[in-house]
Amino acid sequence: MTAEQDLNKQEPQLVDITPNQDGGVLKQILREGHGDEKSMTGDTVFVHYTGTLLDGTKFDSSRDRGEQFSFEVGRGSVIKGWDMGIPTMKRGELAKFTIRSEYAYGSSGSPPTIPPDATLIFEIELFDFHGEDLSENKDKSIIRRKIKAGSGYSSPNDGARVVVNLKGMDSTGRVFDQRENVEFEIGEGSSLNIIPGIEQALTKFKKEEHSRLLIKSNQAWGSKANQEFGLSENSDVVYEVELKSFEKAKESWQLNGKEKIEQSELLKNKGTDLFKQGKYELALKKYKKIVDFLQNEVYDLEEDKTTSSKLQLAANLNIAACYLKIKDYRQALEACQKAIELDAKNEKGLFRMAQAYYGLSEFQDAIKYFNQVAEINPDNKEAVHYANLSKQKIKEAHEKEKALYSKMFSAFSK
Amino acid sequence: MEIYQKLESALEHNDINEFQLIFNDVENDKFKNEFSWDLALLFINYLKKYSDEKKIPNSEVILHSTKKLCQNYGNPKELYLVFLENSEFFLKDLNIMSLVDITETLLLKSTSKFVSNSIDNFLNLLEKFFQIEINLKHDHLIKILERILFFIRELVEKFFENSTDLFKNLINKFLIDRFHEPFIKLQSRDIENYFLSPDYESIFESNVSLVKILNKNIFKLITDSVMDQNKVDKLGLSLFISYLYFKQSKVINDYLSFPKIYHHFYIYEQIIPIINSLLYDLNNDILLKNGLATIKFLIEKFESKTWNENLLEIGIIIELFESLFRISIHANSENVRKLSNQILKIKFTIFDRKARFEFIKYFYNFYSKGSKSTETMNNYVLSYLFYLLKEEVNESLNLNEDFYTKTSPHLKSIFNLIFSRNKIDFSKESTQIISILNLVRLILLKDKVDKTGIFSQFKPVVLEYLKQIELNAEQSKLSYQNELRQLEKNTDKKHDSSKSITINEISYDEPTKDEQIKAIEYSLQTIHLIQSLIIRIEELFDEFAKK
Repeated sequence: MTAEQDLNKQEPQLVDITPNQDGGVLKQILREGHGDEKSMTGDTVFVHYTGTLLDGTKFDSSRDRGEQFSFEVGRGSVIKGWDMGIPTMKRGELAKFTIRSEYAYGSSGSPPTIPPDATLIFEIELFDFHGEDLSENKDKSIIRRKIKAGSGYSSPNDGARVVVNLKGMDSTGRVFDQRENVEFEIGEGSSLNIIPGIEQALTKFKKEEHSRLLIKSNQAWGSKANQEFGLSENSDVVYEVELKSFEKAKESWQLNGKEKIEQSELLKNKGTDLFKQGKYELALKKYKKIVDFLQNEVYDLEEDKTTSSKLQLAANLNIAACYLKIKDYRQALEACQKAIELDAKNEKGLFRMAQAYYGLSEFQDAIKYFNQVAEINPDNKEAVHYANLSKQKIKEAHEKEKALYSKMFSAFSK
Repeated sequence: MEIYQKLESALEHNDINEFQLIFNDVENDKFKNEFSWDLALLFINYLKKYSDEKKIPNSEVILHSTKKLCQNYGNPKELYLVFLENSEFFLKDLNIMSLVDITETLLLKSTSKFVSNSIDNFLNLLEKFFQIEINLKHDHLIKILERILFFIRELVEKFFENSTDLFKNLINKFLIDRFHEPFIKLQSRDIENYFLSPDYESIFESNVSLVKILNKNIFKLITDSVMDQNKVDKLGLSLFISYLYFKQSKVINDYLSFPKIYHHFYIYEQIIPIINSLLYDLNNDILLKNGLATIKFLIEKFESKTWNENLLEIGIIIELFESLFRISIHANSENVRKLSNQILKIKFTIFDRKARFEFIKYFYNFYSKGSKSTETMNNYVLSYLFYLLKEEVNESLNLNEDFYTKTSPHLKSIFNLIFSRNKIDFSKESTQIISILNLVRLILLKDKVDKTGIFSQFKPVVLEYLKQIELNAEQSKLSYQNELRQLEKNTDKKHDSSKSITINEISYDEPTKDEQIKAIEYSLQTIHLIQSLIIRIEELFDEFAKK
């Protein structure tokens, strides 16, 4: 390098990125990134970093671990200086941050490696980031990018009453849905044409949050076209949702015994409505909540004890019915077993158990329970019919085995 | 097949010399290679034949031959399947080590792909073994665990580089679940010894060092395990985390290996729900001490008054307080109750003044509506809340803060809650009443200038309350005095030990006459204390009025 080049080589500029410009977090770009996009609150980012104290002592490095470090920005999962610094970076950027202790570990430090009141230096390289996957199955069917972060720590839960503003757009950017102050209970939004993706996403929203949701068709209207909004089948959509306010549904531990019984009665009715509409997954949520409320609650009055038992029995029977509908036979079996524990001779419980065993092709057990049902209620023709069907299935399986073994034996003897 | 028949015959006649002669003959190596499957079955069937006897004849020779077979002959994958299919035999205390030896030999000979795809069968077998053999002697359990960990280490060292995520996850789960095992055996022992027990310490260390090889970010392992409920045993995970924190407090270097980026509160928020599960069983001292020690370690990272009221929205923060209340009242061990109390106090002081106020109000509301079955807890918690409030007001007045003043709504809103109740059950709520009276007395003593409004704004409502309490106290006193007289008169009445009373669903024998007299005398002392407090409070009001 020539002297002239040396002179021209400038130190990267030091920028104060704190909101109140107190010099607590200083940034130097060591290598520019590409594109214009920067990460937003809630995005998952992927970085490599090396952290040192002012005297140069290295206390941590993702490069030593040989694995990129990832975290959600703005969630408070990392020290404040990082939550401030990362959103200023572009993909491919390499930057150095000098973070004063009040934006790091403060007066407690982080023993044994980081002393109290330590200023920390981080060299961070940002590789990539993407929006937050809010779907239950983590299948990227609901991706959130925050436009404006909300406040507080609380989010609506299932059953919470919410008030939202909505703006829905299709893949061309056409706005097909624009509504303000829509009020509904989470779990029952379908009556107002609120798609499951929005309801699921709202359980992760903070108050006054405004976010953009990229929702795949399976969390929207699925294979059904929506004529009202002019959407064809299997349409992915984008919704901008603002959560204006919400009131949480009470959690189990917030309710006293009487309130739990009252809520359980309401939940049972809602579950039944959903079941009749064929919304089995949603119905399941209602019934499971009943079990959650009542299974550990101890009642002094006989009347309350009886009511609680009845509700739990009904809930477990209905859970079994839902699982049978969605063909999850193992779960159906578990629910039936709980029902039978409450009432050993319950016809519905025994019948559904038999159905579950039948679904699992465990025909011997199916026959056993169908027969028990027939004993309790000889008029239950369905039980007799299925018992005979199970016997037939067993016979067919034996025939198949016989044929297979005879082939095997003839092969051996050769 | 001639060689096979000769071996079979030798075993049938227990002619071990003949057997060894044929088996060790190098001329028969080709046979051993081609028919390794059949030979393995032959040996297993022999061992099974005698499995019910105390000692299997020639078992050492047969097992040694089996291992030699696995080491040098045949296809390891095929042989592995043979042993899996006959695993029932090996899942007995005496045979498990042999199974581990054999499996180790076979898997180390195999490919990384085969191991990744088949290791879960073997790990499931081991889990089954631990479930079946729950009465293993302590020494024997240690030996088995050591052997298994050695085997896992060999697998990890050989295959980790080229292994799949499945392999890593299966081994992770197995290792973490193992923290559950020794605990079951050590139920009656003291916590200090649990993690420090020299027998188990090497096992824990070995286990953790393997986890560290497999996972570069242990904190991520913990959070991922929480997300996927099927991944690990909850109790095993809780104990694993407790062990990490226990060790961290004992060593100088960084034992936890968490990346030095995570915010203290984030770590706390992620770990607390898992650790909370250690606090459910109030009879289990080991789990309680473990859980409490970990929580203490976590919360000591926070300075006081740094948390605001928003954090009260976080469900687990509230649930943890409830756990601590429950433990402080109902845990068997006094040390555990003391530790829980200590943590309650520390955790409370991490919140700032406003948050502490909201906390008191929230829990007052919750516990004052509590059910009959939790009466003891409700009374304790309410009394404790008044104690906390007393400390708060005291501190606020000492620091000359404006938090509890005439003009701020705070004291008013709490007093509304406390004094607006119409029905007071004097005998059941005596502890609460004493706490409330102490609170009022403190404010009257400390507040020389009526900053809080106690001498003006709140005087009528306090005096009304005092009147109610005084009436109740007098009635109760008369009733107890009467009862005492009756008891003292009744010398003929014999103690009936067959009678019992039920309190909170627990049955107690009917108290003796002396016990009943003592109980009444204590109650009378309590009433006397309450009446003294009332008198003092009225005096303080008068003194201020005269000024």
